[in-house]
Amino acid sequence: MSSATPLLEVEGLRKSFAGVHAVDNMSFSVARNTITGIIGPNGSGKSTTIDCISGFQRPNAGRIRLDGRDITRLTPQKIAKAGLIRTFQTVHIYESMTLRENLLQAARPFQAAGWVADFLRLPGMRREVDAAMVRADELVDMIGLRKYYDAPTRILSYGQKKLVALAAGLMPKPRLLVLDEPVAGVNPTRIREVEEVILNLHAAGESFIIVEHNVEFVMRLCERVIVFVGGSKMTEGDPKSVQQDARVLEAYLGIPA
Amino acid sequence: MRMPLLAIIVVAVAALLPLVVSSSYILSVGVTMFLYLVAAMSLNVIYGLLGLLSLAHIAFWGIGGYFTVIAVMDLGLSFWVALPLAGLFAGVLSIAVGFPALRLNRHSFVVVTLIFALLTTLVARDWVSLTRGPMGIPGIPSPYFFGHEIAGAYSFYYLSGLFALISLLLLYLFFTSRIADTMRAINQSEDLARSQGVNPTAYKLLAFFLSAFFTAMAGGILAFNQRVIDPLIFDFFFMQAFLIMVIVGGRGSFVGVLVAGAVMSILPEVLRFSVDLRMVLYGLALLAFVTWAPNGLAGWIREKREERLRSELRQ
Repeated sequence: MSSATPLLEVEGLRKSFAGVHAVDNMSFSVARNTITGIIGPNGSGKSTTIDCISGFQRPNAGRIRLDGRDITRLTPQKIAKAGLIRTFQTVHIYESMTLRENLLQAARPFQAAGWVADFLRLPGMRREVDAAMVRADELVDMIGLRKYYDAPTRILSYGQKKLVALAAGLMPKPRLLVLDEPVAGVNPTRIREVEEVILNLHAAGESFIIVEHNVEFVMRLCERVIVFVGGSKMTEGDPKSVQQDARVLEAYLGIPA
Repeated sequence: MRMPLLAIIVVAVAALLPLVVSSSYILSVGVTMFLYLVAAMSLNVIYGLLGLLSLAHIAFWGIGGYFTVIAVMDLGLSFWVALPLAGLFAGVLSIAVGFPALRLNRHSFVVVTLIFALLTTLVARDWVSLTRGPMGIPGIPSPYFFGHEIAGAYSFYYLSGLFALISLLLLYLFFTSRIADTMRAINQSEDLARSQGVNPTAYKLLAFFLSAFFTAMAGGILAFNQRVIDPLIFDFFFMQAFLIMVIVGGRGSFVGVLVAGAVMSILPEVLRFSVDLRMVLYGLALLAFVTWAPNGLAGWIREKREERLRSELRQ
């Protein structure tokens, strides 16, 4: 793919529930190797947009392209395989599994070994597990939870669980990782750590979309910020210009421009 | 852990038991235990690993029995061919039932499998030209193994024991494989698994297939051991026995269900010392489990271990 093609392209997206348009005529695109923030007040269509992009909801209209490939009507698992991984607003991790098992499981669908190789423990499967283990080792150090590597994730705190979800999303080295409120409910010192993790990964070539209510977090981290209001894109730009946009203030604070 | 050593000792004791014990009653309890163990462990695949309660299990158990008997008596197939064919037949049926049943949610899956079980019983009772109806099929011939007739508790103890050994070894390999790990993942959060690229339907159908396959073969051996098969093989008693073994053992745990299956097969017999109170005592034992170890034997051990880990990590 030429670098002119955007990594993610959303065009005329519409999703309605019982006649109410949660998202209407939503269009935006995300460039390769960037951190893009999506902000907007409650009910502005952030979550619905993410659900549509990741296949968890079917849009009523519109096109979604990942690296030029149309992924509009694919199932979540196919979209994940195509390289777009998402995390969830409420923590989704495998609580009864250890941190290590969580990370290895996240890499599993991207490996070539089939059921037969798994059942018979063929060498191909062992090689894949070893490779995934190397990646998991890197990530567990990055999120600073090595101490809990072999503990069931159920015993972790809320913020730690969010970090596990982040690391799991990174395991298969996705083309694009969509983080849905990665620091909601995480304590401020931890938020700094998450920022650092994301910046390091970004430097290594990873692309992110971050949906967050914590505006400062988004402004510090993102090169571009897209503002949703009322189910469609209101504006976008670099953090500074968005912050000074009178319409954004109005949408958030209700102050007329 | 000295698990492998323990397993070898248990198998050796079980293999040598008939040389010491000549009571055909005890050996027939052993036959029942072996067959129940396989059926319970295969229910543990779909219900334990994936959390999908399949009441069709009893149907596969009975279908396996009828299929094997009819294939041997009416089609003239060898028992050794008919038995795996019965497993495959039930497996194919499970895909046919599972595909529509899995399109909705977990609750509808339970209902669809229940209806399938009820329909199967009806077929066994009413399709008289095939199953001979409520009277059943008596006079099931003994299988022969290289000219050696398999009849009576002694031979069937070895036949069902060997069958259980092979099935449980295969299932153990399965329970400890990454396939089972992915099933556990789907059970905990299907959305997360899908967001990571897993296709849950494929895993659910595989689990349903395996559980039908092994259960049907166990049912086939049961029929030949009884020498008669009738619609009572679809009795819900079997279903609740398998379910209790899985729940008491701890859903999704191989060792837990193995231990619970063995104990629960033997316990009702041990309690025969008090014929009147037998079932009451059995019920009390169950109640105790539900109250103090709702996640079964394996769940209770896991919780203890986690508690310890938690306090260690807090220091």
